[in-house]
Amino acid sequence: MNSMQGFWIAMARLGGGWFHSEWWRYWDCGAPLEFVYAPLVPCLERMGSRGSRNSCRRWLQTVSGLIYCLGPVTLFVMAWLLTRAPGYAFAAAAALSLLAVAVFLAPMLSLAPAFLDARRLYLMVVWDETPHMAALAMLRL
Amino acid sequence: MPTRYFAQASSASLFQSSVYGVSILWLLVRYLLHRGGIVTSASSTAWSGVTAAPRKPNRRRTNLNSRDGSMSVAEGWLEDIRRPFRSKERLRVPEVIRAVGYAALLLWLNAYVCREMFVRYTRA
Repeated sequence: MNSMQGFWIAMARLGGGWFHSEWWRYWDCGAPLEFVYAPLVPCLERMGSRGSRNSCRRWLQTVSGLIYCLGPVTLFVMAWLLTRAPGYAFAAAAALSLLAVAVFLAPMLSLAPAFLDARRLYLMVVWDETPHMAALAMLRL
Repeated sequence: MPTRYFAQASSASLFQSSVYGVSILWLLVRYLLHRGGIVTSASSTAWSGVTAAPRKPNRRRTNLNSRDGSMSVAEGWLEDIRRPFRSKERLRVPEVIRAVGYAALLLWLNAYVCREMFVRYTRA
C-alpha cells in the first residue's frame, strides 16, 4: 500500500461519527475533521463499513473502483448535455477510459506505451489519486 | 499529326503534372460527395441525371430542421454552428435511451478494466 491510502483508511476507521465536528489529531497538530482534506472518500468508506461486514480497507478499494467507473460516465453526461451529440460524447468518454491523453503533458514519459495503457488506473492505485478523481467526476456534473 | 515519343516531347513539368493529378483526385472526391448526397457540388448540373444517385434522406437533419428532407448533412452542420445553444433543446426519449445505453457501456468498460478492485482485496 502506497501513498495516502492508509491515511484514508485511518480517517474512516478513527473518524468516529463522521458528520459531527470532531478533532482530527493526526494531521497538522490537530484540525477540525470536516476541514481535513477531501472528506468524500473516507466518508464513503465509513458508511460502507458500517453498513456491511467489510472493513474500511476493503471499502477503500470498492469506493476507488466506483469512482474510477464514474469518471468517464460523468464526462459523457456533461459532453452529451452540452453538445446534445451522444455519439461524440461517448467517443470522448471512451477515449478517457482507454487512452492516457495526459501523458502529452509530461514529456519526460515515453509516450507511445503510456498512451495506450490504463494510466488512470495506475494513478489511482499506486499514487492514490482517488479523492482528486472523485472531485473531477463530481465537477463534471 | 503523327505522335512522336522521345525524351524531350513531354512539355508538362513535374509541378504541372502534380497539379493535374491532384485536381483529378479532387474532382473524384467532389463527385463521390455529390453522389452520396453529402455535398451538392456546383457542377451538379453536369452530373445530374446521369451520375447522381437518389438522394439519401438525412434522418437526423430531416427530422429536426427540414421537414421536406431537402437539407443535406453539410447544411445541417452549418445550422448547428449558427445555433450555439443546442443544449437548451428539449430532451427526446430516443436520445435519452441512446445516452443511457452509452453510459451503461462505459460503466461496463471501466468496471471491466478495474474489476479486481471489487473482487480481490489487498491484505495490507
